[in-house]
Amino acid sequence: MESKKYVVLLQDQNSSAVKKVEREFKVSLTSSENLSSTNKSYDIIDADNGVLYKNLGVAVMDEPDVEQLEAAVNNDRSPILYYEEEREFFAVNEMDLINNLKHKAAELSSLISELESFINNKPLPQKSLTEMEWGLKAIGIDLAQFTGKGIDLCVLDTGFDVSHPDFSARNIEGKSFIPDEVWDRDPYGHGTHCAGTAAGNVRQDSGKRYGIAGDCHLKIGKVLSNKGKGTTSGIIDAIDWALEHKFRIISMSLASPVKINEKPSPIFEAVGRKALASNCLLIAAAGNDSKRPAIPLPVGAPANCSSIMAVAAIDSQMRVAAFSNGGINSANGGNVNVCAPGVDILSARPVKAPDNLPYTMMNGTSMATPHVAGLAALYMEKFPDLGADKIWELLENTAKPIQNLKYRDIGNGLIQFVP
Amino acid sequence: MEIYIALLKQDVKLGEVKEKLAEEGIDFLKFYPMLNMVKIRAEKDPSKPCHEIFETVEKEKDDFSSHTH
Repeated sequence: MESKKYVVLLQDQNSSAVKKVEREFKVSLTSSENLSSTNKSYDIIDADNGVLYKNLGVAVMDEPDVEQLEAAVNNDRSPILYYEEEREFFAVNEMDLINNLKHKAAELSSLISELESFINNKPLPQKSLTEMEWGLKAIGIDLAQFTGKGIDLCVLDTGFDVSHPDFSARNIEGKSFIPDEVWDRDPYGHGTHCAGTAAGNVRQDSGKRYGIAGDCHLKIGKVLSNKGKGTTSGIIDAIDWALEHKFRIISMSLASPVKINEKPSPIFEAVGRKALASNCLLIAAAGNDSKRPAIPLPVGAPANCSSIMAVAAIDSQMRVAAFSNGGINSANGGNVNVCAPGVDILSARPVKAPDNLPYTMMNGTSMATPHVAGLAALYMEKFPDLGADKIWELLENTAKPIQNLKYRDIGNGLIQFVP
Repeated sequence: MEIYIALLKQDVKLGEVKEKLAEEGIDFLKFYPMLNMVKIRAEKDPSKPCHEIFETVEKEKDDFSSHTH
C-alpha cells in the first residue's frame, strides 16, 4: 500500500528552523538543490527522509504524525505554518469531460420534464376566467364558485322583461301587485336592471358577466308601477306572497323618503321580523335623497327598520355615492348596514326594439341592493344550514371597511364574497 | 277615506276583526295571512276604536319609488 505524503509550508528556512523540524519529526530533509536526474525526490522520500524545496519554503515528508503537525501549526514557536496531504492530479480526458456533461444534461432534462409535467397538471387557480363588471369584482365574485343554485330570490320592483335574451332559458315566476299592470313586462326598465344584477349571468354579446346568482330561481313581484311608484299595501301584499312561497331573499330597490328624527314604520319593522322568523332576508335600498357632501339625508323607508338590511351605494373609486342616504336617524334605528357598488352599474334592460342594446348603465342605491341580494344567494347555497338571520350576520361580518369612510355612510363596509 | 295597514294582535281571530270593523264602519279590504296584517279603509284613524284588535296601525304611503340617479 502506498504511503501518504504531506506537504508542509515553513515560515522560516534557516538552518535552526530546518533542524528543529528534523528533530521534532525525526526526519532528514534533503535540499532540492541536491536533486538531479539521478537523485529524484521520489527516490529519496521515505519514512526517515524528506525533501525541502528551498525556493518555495515547502517540505515534503512521508507519513509524518498528523497530530504533531496540527500541534505545530497551532504553536507560534514552530516554523511550520500549514500542512496538507499530497493531492493527486490527472490530465483532463476530453471524452470523460463530454460524458460527464452528457450525464449532467440528462439529469437537467429529467428535472425540466418533471417541472413541465407539474406546470401542465397543476390545478387551475380559483380565479374566474370570465371578464366581469367592476361591481362584481369589487365584491369578490371572481373568487366565488357558487351561483345561488336552488335559492329562491325575489325582486320586488317595476316588473321584469321576460323576453330579455339572457333570460330566455330561465323559468321565472312572478305576480303583479299593481292593478291592471303585468309583472312580465317592464316598460320602466328599473326592475329588469335590478334583477339582472342579482340573478343575471353573462352578456350574450361579449360574454362579460354582470349578474351574480345566475342559477338562482328568480321570482318577480311587481310592486312599482310602470312609472316607478308604489304603495305600502302593494309591498306588504307582495312580501306576504313571497313568504307564503317560502322565498329566501327579497330584494327591494325602492324607498320612501323620511324626515330627520322620523321613527321607522312599526308595520315594516314587524314585516322584517316576521320575514326573518320565516327564514327570509329582506334587503332594501337606503335611498337616493342625499346631495353629498353638503347634504346627507337619512336612510329611507323601509330600509330604516332594524329588521330590514339597509344598503348604501359606493362608486368604483370607493367613495360614497353623492346621492346615497346615511345613518342620520341612528337614534331611532335607521342605520346603514352595508354598502355595495351603485354607480355606473351595467345590467340588463328591456328590449324595446330589435336593434336596441339589451344593456344599460344605471346609478342608485337601487343598483347596490341587488348586489347584496345576489351575494346572499351565493352564501345561502354555500351554507345551506344557515338561517336568514345568520346570512345577515355573515354579510355584515365579511364586509370590508373602506378607508376614510364613516360607519354612518357605509355601515360595516363593502360586502365581500369570502371563499 | 284613507287606506290603513294594521298588524293584528296575536290572539285575535280574523272573524272577530271583521266583526269589529263592521261595527266601526270600517271597510275590510284584504287579509295578509303570513304577516297577520289587514288592509282597511276608514274615514279617520282607526287606532283608538280598534285598539283591542290592532297591535299597530299605519296610514298607507304612496311615495315609494325606484328613481335612480
